[in-house]
Amino acid sequence: MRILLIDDSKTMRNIQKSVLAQLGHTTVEEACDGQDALNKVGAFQPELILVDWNMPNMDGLTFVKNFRQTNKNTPLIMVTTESEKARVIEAIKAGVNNYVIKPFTPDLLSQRITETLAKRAA
Amino acid sequence: MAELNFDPELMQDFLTESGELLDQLDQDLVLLESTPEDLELLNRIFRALHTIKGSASFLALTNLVSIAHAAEGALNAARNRVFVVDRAAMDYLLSAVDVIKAQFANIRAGQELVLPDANLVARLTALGEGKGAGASHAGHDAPAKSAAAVRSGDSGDNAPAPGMPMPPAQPADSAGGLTEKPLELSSSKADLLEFLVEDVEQTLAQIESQIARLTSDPDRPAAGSAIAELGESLTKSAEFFDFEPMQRLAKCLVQLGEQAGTLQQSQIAGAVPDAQRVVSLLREQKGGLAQKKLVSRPIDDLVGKFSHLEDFPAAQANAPTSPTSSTTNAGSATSATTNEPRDAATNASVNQGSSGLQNAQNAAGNQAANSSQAAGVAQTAGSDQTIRVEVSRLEALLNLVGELVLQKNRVSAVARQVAANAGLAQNLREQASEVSSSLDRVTSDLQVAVMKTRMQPLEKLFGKYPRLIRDLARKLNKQINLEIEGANTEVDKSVIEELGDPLVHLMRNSADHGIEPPDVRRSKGKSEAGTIRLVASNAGGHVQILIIDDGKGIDPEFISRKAMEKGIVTQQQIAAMTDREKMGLIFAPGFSTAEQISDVSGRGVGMDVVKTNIEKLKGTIEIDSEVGKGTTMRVKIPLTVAILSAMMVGVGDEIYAVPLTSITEIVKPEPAQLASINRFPVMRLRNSVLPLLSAAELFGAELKAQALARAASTKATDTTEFKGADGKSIPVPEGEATPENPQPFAVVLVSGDKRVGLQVTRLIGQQEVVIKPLDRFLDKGGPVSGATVRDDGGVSLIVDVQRLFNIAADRSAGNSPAA
Repeated sequence: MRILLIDDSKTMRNIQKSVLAQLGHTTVEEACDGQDALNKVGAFQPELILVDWNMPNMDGLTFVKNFRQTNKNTPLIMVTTESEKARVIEAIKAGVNNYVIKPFTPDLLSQRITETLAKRAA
Repeated sequence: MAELNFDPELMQDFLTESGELLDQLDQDLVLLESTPEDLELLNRIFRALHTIKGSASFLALTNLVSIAHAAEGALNAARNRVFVVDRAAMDYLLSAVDVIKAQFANIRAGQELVLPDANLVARLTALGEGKGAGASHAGHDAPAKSAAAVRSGDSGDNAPAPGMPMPPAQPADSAGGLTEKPLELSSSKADLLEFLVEDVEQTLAQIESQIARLTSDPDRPAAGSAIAELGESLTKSAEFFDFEPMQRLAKCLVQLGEQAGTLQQSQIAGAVPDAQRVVSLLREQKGGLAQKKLVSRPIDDLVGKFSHLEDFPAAQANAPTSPTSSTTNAGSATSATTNEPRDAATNASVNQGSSGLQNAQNAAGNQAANSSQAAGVAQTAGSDQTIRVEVSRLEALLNLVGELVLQKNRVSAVARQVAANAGLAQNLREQASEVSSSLDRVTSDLQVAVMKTRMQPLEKLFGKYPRLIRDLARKLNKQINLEIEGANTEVDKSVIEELGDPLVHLMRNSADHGIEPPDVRRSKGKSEAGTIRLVASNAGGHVQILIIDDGKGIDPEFISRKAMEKGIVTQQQIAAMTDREKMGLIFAPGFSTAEQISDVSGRGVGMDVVKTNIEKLKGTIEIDSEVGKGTTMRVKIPLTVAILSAMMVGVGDEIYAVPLTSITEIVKPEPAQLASINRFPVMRLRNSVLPLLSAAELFGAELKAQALARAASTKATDTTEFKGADGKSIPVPEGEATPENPQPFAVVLVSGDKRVGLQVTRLIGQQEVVIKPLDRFLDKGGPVSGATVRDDGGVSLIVDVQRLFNIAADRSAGNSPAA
C-alpha cells in the first residue's frame, strides 16, 4: 500500500516509517509540510495519508481542506497529540477519517489503519 | 502490545534535528522577549518544542517529554493570549531550554536523563494554566470567547433569532416514532464525543441562520454554499462517528445548499420548512448524543424530498403531502412572506470566516463548493530541498578541486607554451589555447560551486548571541540591546568554526567593559540601554564583521599607561605611537584592563588569543574607539582559507606566492624614494613612509648574477594587472632586475591601516594557489604560511603577510632585525 507521511520533523517521519515498516508497509513517501504534500500527492497517488497537525508553511488542517477539494476518497489519518484533541473535530469536519495520538505503538497505529481502511471498503 | 524497536540512527536524527531546533529556540525566545505579541514567532517556538516533545515521546525519553511539555503548555497559553511573556516568564522558558539542552548532552554522552527540576516544571505548568507571572492578563480573552459561544447558542438553541421564521413545532410531538439506543463507541471516538456535541450545536446554529437567508434572492447563492459547506462538515463528523441517521440528514442540507442558487423563489419557500425540520431533527440527535444515546426517527420521506428538490412545486405550500410535512408547511405559509425584511445583523455575524470566502467565490454563479477545486492545485515551492552531507565528503571534494586547480594551472602553462611555439601547426596551437581556456573556466566554476557548498551563513554564529547578550546583561545589571545585521553573509565552514570563540570574546568584552551600567549612562546623558551592533558584510574577498558598542570607549592613554606598568612597552615606544597603535596594545599578550577581574570577560588573557585566532584565519582585527562614545572592533576574514589568489613573485631564482588580498599596489621605487631609518630601509610612497623588507633577506635567497640569469629564463605570464586587496585593479610595473639592483620591485602589503613594502626580484603573475600546510618543523623556517604547487609543477612557499607585519613592527619598536 502506498502511504504518504506528512510531518515537518524528519525524526518523526523516521519513527513513523519504522513503525509502518514493522507493520509491513514499505512504500512510503514523505512530505515535510502540507504544501510539499499537495505537490506530491499527484505523482505518488497515496492510498493512505498520515498527516501531522502542527507544521510550518501549511499545517495539517489546511492540507486536509485543500486535499479534500479534489480527492474525497483517499483515507486520511491525523497524527496529533493529547493537547490537540479538542481540535480533532475540526479535522474531522475537514475530512479526516481517523486520528491517532502520539506517541502510538505499532499495535495502535495498525488498529487505526485497519479500522480506517475497513470503513473505506464498506 | 508490541514494543517499538528503533534503529539507533533514529536517535541520531533526533539529536541533530532537535539540536537545530534548540539553537533556533534560544534565538527566537530572546526575540520574543522584545516582541511578545508576535504570534508568528510564538507559533514557531511552540512548534519547535512540540516537535521535540513529539519525537521524544516516541523514544521514551520521559524526562525530556515532561519539561518540553510544561514549556509547550506555557507557550500555548501565551499563544492564546492567556498571559504576555514578560521577563520572569522568559527566564523560566529559557531555563527550560537549558534543561532540555542539558538532557541532550546527557543523551549524547550516553547517560541517564535526570528528572527536570520539579519547581521549574511547576512554574511552567502554572504559566500554562494562566496562573504564572503574567497571570494578570488571564482570562482577558476568555470572557469574550464565552460570550461569543453564548451568542451563537442563543441563535440556535430554543429561542429563534430575531426576525427568524418560527421554527416548526419541536419534532418531539410524542408519537413520531422516536427510538433510543445506548451509544456504543470505541474509546478514541468516545473521547471526542463531548467536542462533537459542542461543534454540532454551533454548526446547526449557523445553518439555521443561513436557511433564513435563503428566501432573499440576492443572498441565496451565498447562503446556499454556506449551507452546503456546513452540511458537508456535519456529514463528515457523522460519518466519522458512524451516526448514519445524522449523516443522512446532514446530506439533505448539502443537497439543499448545492441547489439553492438554481431553485426558484417559490421552490425555496417550499424547501425551507423541510430544512428547518432537518435542523431540528439533527438537534434532537445531538441532544441524545450528549446523553450518550442514539436517538432516531423515521426520516426516509423527509430525506427523499431533498433528492428531488427541483420537483418541489411552487404550490406545495398549500398542498401538504405527508403528515410530517403538514406541520412544517403550515409554518412556511407565513414565513414565505415574512422572511424578506430580515435582521441583516444576524446573518452578518454568522456569515464569516472561510465560508465567507467560499460565498464570495460561489456567489458569482453557481452551485457547488467544488467550484473552487483549482485553488489548491497549482503549487510550486517544494520545501524539503536540502540534504545533509558528511563534512568529510565536502573536505574530500574540496581537496580534489584543489588538486584539479593545480593541474589546470599546469595545463594552462603547457598550453601557453604550445600556443607560443611557432614551430607547431596553427591549428594545434589554437586548439591548445581554446581547450586550456575552457578548462580554466569550468574549473573555476567548479571551484566556486564546491566552495559554496561549504559556505554557511554567519547566522549560525550570530544566532547564539542574543541569548549570550541577554544573559550577560542580566548578570551585569546592565541594559543592552543587540542589533544584528548581515547575518546571512556567508563564509566557509572552517571559518565559522574558528570564528566562534573570538567573536564571543569580543562581544563579552563590549558588554562587560564597553557598555556602562544604566546609572552611569544616564549621568552621561546617554540612554540607559546600551547598544551593541554586530554587522557583517562582504568586502571583496573578505567578510567584514563589525562589533560596535556605544559604551565608554577605550582611552589610549589609559591603555598605554597600563601597558607600561606591565612592561609590555617602554615610555619611548609609547611616545612614537598613534592613538590607534596604543589601543592596539590590548592585543598584547598578558594585557588586562579590567580593574576587577570579572567572570564575564575573564582575565583579559583573551584579547591576544582573539587576535591570534583571527590571524590564524588569515584575518585581521582593528580597533576604533572614541572615549565616551563607544568602540568599534573591525574583524576581516577571508571567505575561504583553502584556496587563494596569489601574486607569484621571484626572489633570486626562487618563486614565492603572495596572497593578492593583502596587496594594494606594486611599485618600482626610484632610488630617490629609498632611505633608511634606524638602520632599517624605508620607502617613500607619495606622502607616507613605509618600512621595506627584503624578500631575499627574509627567505635567504641568493641574489647573485647567475641566479638572476637562471630566473630570467622562466617566463612570466602575461598578466599586466590584477585585483588586489580592495578589489581594485592594480597595474604591474615593467622592469628587469640587474645585479646592481637585484630587487627592483616593491610589493606594497596592507594589514589594517599599516603598510609595508616587500622587495622582490621579479613579478611573475597571478595564480590560484591551493594552500598545503607545512610540517611543523618546516614552519619555523621563515615568514611562510604554507606551500603550493605552481602551474609549472614546481613548489612555492606562500608568504605569511601577517608575520611580515610583525617583523616590521619589531623593527620600528627598535628590536634587532628579525632573522
